[in-house]
Amino acid sequence: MKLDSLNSESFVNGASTTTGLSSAKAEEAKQAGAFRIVWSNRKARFGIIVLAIFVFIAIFGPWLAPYSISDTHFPTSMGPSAAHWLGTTQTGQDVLTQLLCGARVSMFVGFLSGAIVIAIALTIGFVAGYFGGWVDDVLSMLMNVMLVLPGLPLMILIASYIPSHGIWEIILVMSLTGWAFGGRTLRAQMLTLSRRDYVIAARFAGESPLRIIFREILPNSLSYIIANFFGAVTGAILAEAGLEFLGLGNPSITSWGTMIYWAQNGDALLEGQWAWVLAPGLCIALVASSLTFINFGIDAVANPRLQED
Amino acid sequence: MRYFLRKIGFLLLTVWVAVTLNFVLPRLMPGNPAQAMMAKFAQQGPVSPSQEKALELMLGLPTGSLWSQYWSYLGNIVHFNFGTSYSYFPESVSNVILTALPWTLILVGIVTILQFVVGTLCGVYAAWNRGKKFDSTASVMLSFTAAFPYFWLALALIYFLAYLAKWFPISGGYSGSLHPAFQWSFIASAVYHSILPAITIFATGIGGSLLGMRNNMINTLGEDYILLAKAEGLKNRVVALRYAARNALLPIVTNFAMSLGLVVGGSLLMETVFAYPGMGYLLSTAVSNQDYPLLQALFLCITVSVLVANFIADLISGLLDPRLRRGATTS
Amino acid sequence: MAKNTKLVVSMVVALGLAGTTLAGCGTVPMNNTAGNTHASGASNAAETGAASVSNSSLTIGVDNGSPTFTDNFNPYAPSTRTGTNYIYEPLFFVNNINGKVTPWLATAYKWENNKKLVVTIRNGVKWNDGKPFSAKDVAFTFQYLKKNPSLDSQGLWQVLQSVTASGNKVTFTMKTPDVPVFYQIASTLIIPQHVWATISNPAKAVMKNPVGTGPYVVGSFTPYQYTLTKNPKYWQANKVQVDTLNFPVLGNNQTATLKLASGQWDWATLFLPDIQKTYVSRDPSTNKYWFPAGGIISLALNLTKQPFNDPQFRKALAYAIDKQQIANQAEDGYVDVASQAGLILPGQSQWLDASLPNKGIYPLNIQKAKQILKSAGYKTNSQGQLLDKSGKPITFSVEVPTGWSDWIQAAQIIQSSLKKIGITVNVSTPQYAAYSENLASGQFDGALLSFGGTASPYTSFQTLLNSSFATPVGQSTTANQERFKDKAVDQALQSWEQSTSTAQQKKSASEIENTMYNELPVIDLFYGATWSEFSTKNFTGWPSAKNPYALPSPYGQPPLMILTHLKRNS
Repeated sequence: MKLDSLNSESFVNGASTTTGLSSAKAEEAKQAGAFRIVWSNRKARFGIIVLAIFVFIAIFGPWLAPYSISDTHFPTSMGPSAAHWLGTTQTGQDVLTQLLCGARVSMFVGFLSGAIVIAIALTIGFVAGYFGGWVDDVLSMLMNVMLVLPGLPLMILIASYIPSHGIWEIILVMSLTGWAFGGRTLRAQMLTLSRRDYVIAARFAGESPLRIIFREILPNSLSYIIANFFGAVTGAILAEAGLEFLGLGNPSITSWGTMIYWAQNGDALLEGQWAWVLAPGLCIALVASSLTFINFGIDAVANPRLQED
Repeated sequence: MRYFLRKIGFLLLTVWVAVTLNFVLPRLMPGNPAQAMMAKFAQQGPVSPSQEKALELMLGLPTGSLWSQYWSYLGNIVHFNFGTSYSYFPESVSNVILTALPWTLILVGIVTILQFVVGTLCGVYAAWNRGKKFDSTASVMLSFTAAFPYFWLALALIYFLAYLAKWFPISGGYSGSLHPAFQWSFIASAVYHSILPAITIFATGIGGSLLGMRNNMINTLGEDYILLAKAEGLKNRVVALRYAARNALLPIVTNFAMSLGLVVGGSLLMETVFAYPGMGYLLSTAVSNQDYPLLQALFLCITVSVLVANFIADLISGLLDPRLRRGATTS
Repeated sequence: MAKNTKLVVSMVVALGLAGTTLAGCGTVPMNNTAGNTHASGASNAAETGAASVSNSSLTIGVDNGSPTFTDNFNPYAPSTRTGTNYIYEPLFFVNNINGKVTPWLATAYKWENNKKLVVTIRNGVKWNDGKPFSAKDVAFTFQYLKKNPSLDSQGLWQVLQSVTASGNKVTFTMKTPDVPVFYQIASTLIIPQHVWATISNPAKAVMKNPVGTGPYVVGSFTPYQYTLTKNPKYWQANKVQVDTLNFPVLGNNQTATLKLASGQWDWATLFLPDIQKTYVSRDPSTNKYWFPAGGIISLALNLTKQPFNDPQFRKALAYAIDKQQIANQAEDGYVDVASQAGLILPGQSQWLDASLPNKGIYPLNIQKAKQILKSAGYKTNSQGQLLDKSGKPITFSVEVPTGWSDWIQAAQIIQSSLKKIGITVNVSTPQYAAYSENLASGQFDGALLSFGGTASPYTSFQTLLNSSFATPVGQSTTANQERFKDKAVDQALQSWEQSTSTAQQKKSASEIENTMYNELPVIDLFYGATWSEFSTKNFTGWPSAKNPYALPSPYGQPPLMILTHLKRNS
C-alpha cells in the first residue's frame, strides 16, 4: 500500500505496511496478547518509545522549554550557542523553545486529522463493503474519484479558498481530501470479513447490521484499523508540514511546519542557521517514522507470519 | 466479459465526475485571475487602479452563465482544446503543458520505476534473509527516510551539496546557456541538474516499495506451495524469484500502476523547492496565479492518467486472477 | 516603483530559435564572448552561466517566468519578459523618487493651457530595424491605446480627447483639465507604427524580435535564460557600456537568494535578511545595495464600519502601533517609519507642509493612545478589553496576502501592539486574489495596503482619497478601498489637477496632508523598500542615496537610466 505514496505527497502516506493478505489469522489473535506481540517487536518497541517521548513533549513542551514562547527579545538570527542550543529566529525567538512548543500543534493536528480520516474511511468503507450492490457502486465511485484527484494540489486549492487558515481549517481540509485511500482498503477488508462464516451466520440469525459490524467485524479488524490510523496520522503530519511550508497554514501559530516556513522566509540557510531548518524537519521525520515502526508490530498482530522470531 | 464492460462503465463515469469537479473547483476560488496576476506587480510596488481593469479586458475572462461555460468546457476537452493560459498569456495551455511534461515524465518516471525495481528486489532479499543484518538495517533506515518531508530533504540537499559544497547546481532543470536539444552537452546538463531532485524522490520513496514487498513476500514464503518447492530441493534463487516473488508481486501491481499514473502530476513540493521545470512546479504556480485554464488541464491530465493506469492494472489483475472476475465488485 | 511599466511595454518577430519546446535547435553558446572563465569553479560552470563570463556583461536576477520563460517581448502581453523594458522607451524618464523629469524620446514639453500639452520629439532616433522614429509613431502609439482599450492600463483615454502629430510636435488635448496626466503620458512606451499597424490582436501577438528604440535588442533565448545585446543604432549608444545582459530564470525565493549570495548575479531585486552578512560581506569591496522607499505601507481600516469610522479611534491606533519595531523586525531595519502626511520622505520633501509636527510622524505613545480613547468615550472592561460604543469588546482582523512574510510579521507586531490598549487583532492570510477581492468589495475590517510611489503625490492621493472611488460596500472599486469621503479633499484634488502652477499645487498638497495627518484615512506604517543588490565589480555608477537619479530596480523604466549611467571599470 505504500506504493500509493511513492509520491509521499499523496495524503495517506501509507506508512502502514499492513498487507491484509491473511487477516484470517488476525481474527484468531487474542486482543489481550496483542500488545505483547507489538512490544516484542524490536522496531515497534523503538517506535513506541520515540512516540512516547514526543507525546510527552507535546504535553509538557511549554514547561520543558528554556524560555517563554512569546519572548522575542533575544539577539536575532544567531547560530547555535550555549544559551540557544538551536539558535534564534530572525524575530529574536529561541528556536529550541519553538520546537518544544510546536510539537503540540503538529502532533494534535496530525492525530486528530488521522482520526477523522479513519472515521470517514471506516464508515464509508464498511458501509460500501457490507451492503454491496448499488450502495457499494456509488461509494466506490466516490472513493475512486477522490483517489485520482491529485491530493496535495487539491488541498492547496481548498486551502486557498478558505479565508482564514487556523488549525481547524487545516484539519478540515486534510480530512476532506485524505480519506479515500483508507476507505478503499477498509472496504476490501470488509468484503473479506463479511463473507466469513460467522458473519453470514449472524446475518441469517437476523442480527442488525450495526450489531454485526460492531460486535463481529470491528473487533476482528481492530489491528488492521489501527495500522491504517497510524498510516493516516503519518500522512497528515507530512501533509500539514507541506501545507504550512507553502504558507497555507496559519503562520502566527508555532508548529514544526510553520517553523520551516519562517526559517525559509528568514533565509535561515543563507545565514548558515541549518539547525533552525533541520530540527523541525527531523522531528517530523522521527514522529512519522515512529508510527511506521509501531506498525511493524501491529502488522505482526494482524498477521502472525510477520512476528519476529 | 461483463467484468470488463462494468470496468469501462466505471471508468467513463469516473472521468465525467472528475472532469466536472475540475470545472467546479477553480471557480470556487475567491477573486478572479486578473486580481491574482496583479499580485506579481503589487509586490514590486503600488499598482494603479486602471491596470487591473485593462488586464481583465485582455484576458477575456469567461462570460455567460456557468451552464454555458460548462458546455463549452466539455466541448473543448473533447477536442483537446484547453484554451489560453493566463499566466503565460498568450501561450496556449497545451503548449505550456507539453513544455513541462517531458521533464516530469523523464525524471519522476525513471526514478519511480527505478525506486520500485530496487525497492522490490531489496524487499525480496530482505524477506528471504529475514531478521538478518540487511533486513533489519534496510527496513529501519528506509522507514526513516520514507518519513522525511519532501521539501525538507530537498532544502537540506540544496544547502549542503549545492550551496556549501558546490557539487551540484542550486536549482533549475538545465543550464540556461544551452538550448534544449538532443545533444550531448544539453543532456549532460539536464542529468547533472536532475541528480539532487532524483535523490529526493528516491530516498523518500524506496522505503515504501521495500517494506510492501518484504511483507508480502514473507506471507508468500509461508504458503504451502513454497514449502513444497523448497522440500523438492529447488535452488533458493529459483524459489525466491520464480515462485515467491512472482506471487507476492501481484497485489503490488495495482499500487505501482497508480503511482505511475501519479507521475504525470510530478512531485509538487520537490519541484517547487528545486524550481524544476516540470508539471508539479507548473501546478503550484498555476494555483497561485489562479490560471484556471492551465489548472483545469493539469488536473485533467493527472486524473485521466491515474484513471487509465488504474484501469489497466484492473484489467491485468483481472486477467491474472480469475477470482476477481467472479466477485465482480472487488476492485 | 514599477508602477504601470511592467504592463505597458513592447514586441517583435522570430529569431527562429525555438523557445518553448524541447524539439529542434542546436546548442548555442549563451553569448559571443570568448573566455569561459568562472568565478565559482568549473564544477558548476554549467549552472552559473554568465555571471562573470566577461567583464562587459551583467547577469540580472529579476525575471521570474511562470515558472519558465516564454519567448515573448510584446509590451502589452501580461506575461511579457522583463527585458522588454530595456527595448522600448518612453517620451520622458520620470524619476519616481523625486518626480524629476529627464527628456528621453522627447526633448521638451509645454502646457499651452491646462487642457493642451505640446511635446517636442527628438530628431535622429532610429528604430532598431533601421527605420527612422518620428512624431507619427508617438501619435500612433496613443491612437493604438484608444483603439485597444485593453492595452490602456493607465486609463489615458478617460482623460485624453485627441492626440495629433505635426512635424516634430505632438499635441495632446484633454477632455477636462488634467495636468498630472503628464506623468502617465511621459512614461507610456512608444511603439513603431510600421510594425504594429498591421497587428489586429496586440495582446495575443508573440514578439520574439521586438522593434524598439531602446539600448538593447534580443540576443539569444531559451526557456531558462535569455540575453539582450547592445543596440548599435541606439541614439545615445556612446553612453551604453554594458555589451550583454543575461536574464536567467529567477526560480523560487529560496534558491534565488542562494544564487545571489554565491555571486551568480550582478544585479538583483530580492529581500535578503541581514544583508551585511549574507551579501555584502561575501565581497565587501564590490557587493553593494540600496533600498530606497518605493511606496507607503499602511493599515487601512474599513471606514464604513464602527469603530473604524471614528478619527479619534484611528488616531489612538496610530499612537499605539510600534512602527519602529515593524521597521526593525519585519523589514530588518532597512526601511524608515512612514510620515502620516502620505509622502515618501525625503524624496518628496519639496511637497511637505512644514507646519506638520515631527514631519508628520506619529511617535509611539501608549499613554496618549489610551487617553485619546478615554476622552473619545471608549471604556475598558474588567479584563482590560477595550469596548466599543455598544459595549462589546473590540476585536478585528487584519488581512495580509499569504506568503508576504514581511507584511505578515508587520501584522503580527500590530497585533501585539494593540493588545496593550485592549484590542484583539486576528491576522488573516488569504491568497492575494482573495485579499484583493475583499478590499475591492469593502468586505474587510482592516488590511495592510500599499500606496504612493508615484512621480507626483497627486496620483497617490487621488487614488487613495477621492470619494468618487468610494463605492458602497459590496460594489467593487479599485481605489480608495478604505472608502474615505471628504468634500474638502475632493476639491483640493480637483484644483491640483487643473493647476499648472507649482505654488497652487503645493497649496492643495498641504491641505490634503493635513487631512491625512488629522483624519488618518489610513494609518501609515513604514516605507516599502525597492530591493536592489548590485555588484560594482565590472561596472560603477549605480544610483545611490547621494545620487538618486533613478530607483535602482532592474524592472520598469529605471534600467534605461541606469544602463546609460554605468561605467566600465578600467
